[in-house]
Amino acid sequence: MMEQILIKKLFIWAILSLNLIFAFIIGVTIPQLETYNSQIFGYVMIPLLIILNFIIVDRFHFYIVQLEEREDKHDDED
Amino acid sequence: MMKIKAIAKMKKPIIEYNERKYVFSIKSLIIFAIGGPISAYLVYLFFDLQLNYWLHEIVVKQTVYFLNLLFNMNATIEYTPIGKYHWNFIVPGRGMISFETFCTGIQDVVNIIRMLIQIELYYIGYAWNDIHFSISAASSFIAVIIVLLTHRWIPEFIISIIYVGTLVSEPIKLKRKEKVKEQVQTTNEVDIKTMGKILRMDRKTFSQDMVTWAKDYEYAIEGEYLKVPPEKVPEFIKLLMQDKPFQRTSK
Repeated sequence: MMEQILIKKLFIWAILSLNLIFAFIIGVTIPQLETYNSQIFGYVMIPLLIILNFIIVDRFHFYIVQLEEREDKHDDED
Repeated sequence: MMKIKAIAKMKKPIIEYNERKYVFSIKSLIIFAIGGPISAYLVYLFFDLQLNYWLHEIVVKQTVYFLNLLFNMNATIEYTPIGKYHWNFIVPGRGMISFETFCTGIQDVVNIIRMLIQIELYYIGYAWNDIHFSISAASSFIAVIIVLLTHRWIPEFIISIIYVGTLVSEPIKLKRKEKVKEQVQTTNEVDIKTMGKILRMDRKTFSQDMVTWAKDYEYAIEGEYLKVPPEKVPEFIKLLMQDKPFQRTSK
């Protein structure tokens, strides 16, 4: 049980870090671009990062609900 | 239109996969079938706008980086902000290859690898027309295979296609059952080929399976017809009209 929680925590931590790395790469890339209107790259990618962030939070919420349900079931059995 | 209404009114089939039961609403299936291709086309149109050519630049630069890293090609890029598309590859000794939105890989997951193979083959002497279409087609097939392989994690995609097939075939099966019911009620006999279809018997072993099945239920076979004794007709109809015809729950 504890091991499962730890794996899930690490998973959430990893994808949140990935999201931050994406944001960092976008920020570093924009000034390097030669295309006219290259800041559009940010305007397109930031909403996608926000969606990704929502998915991560949603997954986090799903894990918490799952855990609460399991604890309730465990209490009922006791 | 009438058919769609009939399907909508019909009892929803359930597909079981990996101990899970799947039921799809007609609305969601229609939205997925129409919305999927339309949204893919809109994504393409969006990235085909000139203000999104930053995507061309990123893909071109990544490809050139890997070409030089893996094949030591000394390939370069050229930015000419005139005409329809602005970014080009310069392949040493072979000339220029123009880059367009379809090359970015918004439709394809194996895109950079495809371009690396194509440009390397072009660099070593192959004619562009010979390699461009064949490798592009092959990479599209690989993309389809990848989608099929995701079935393990996202079974809903393939199951929804199977579900559509079930929805279409279900009224045909029901019509067939109604026809058999009517035949048995009036003449006490039914065509064995139709019964074979209802019982989903294998064509190769059909004759043998039909004899065994008829013997099991105490029906007789005379030529091309299955004879149902009059006293067994109500039971026959009851078993026929089950969701899974002639499947006994307990005996």
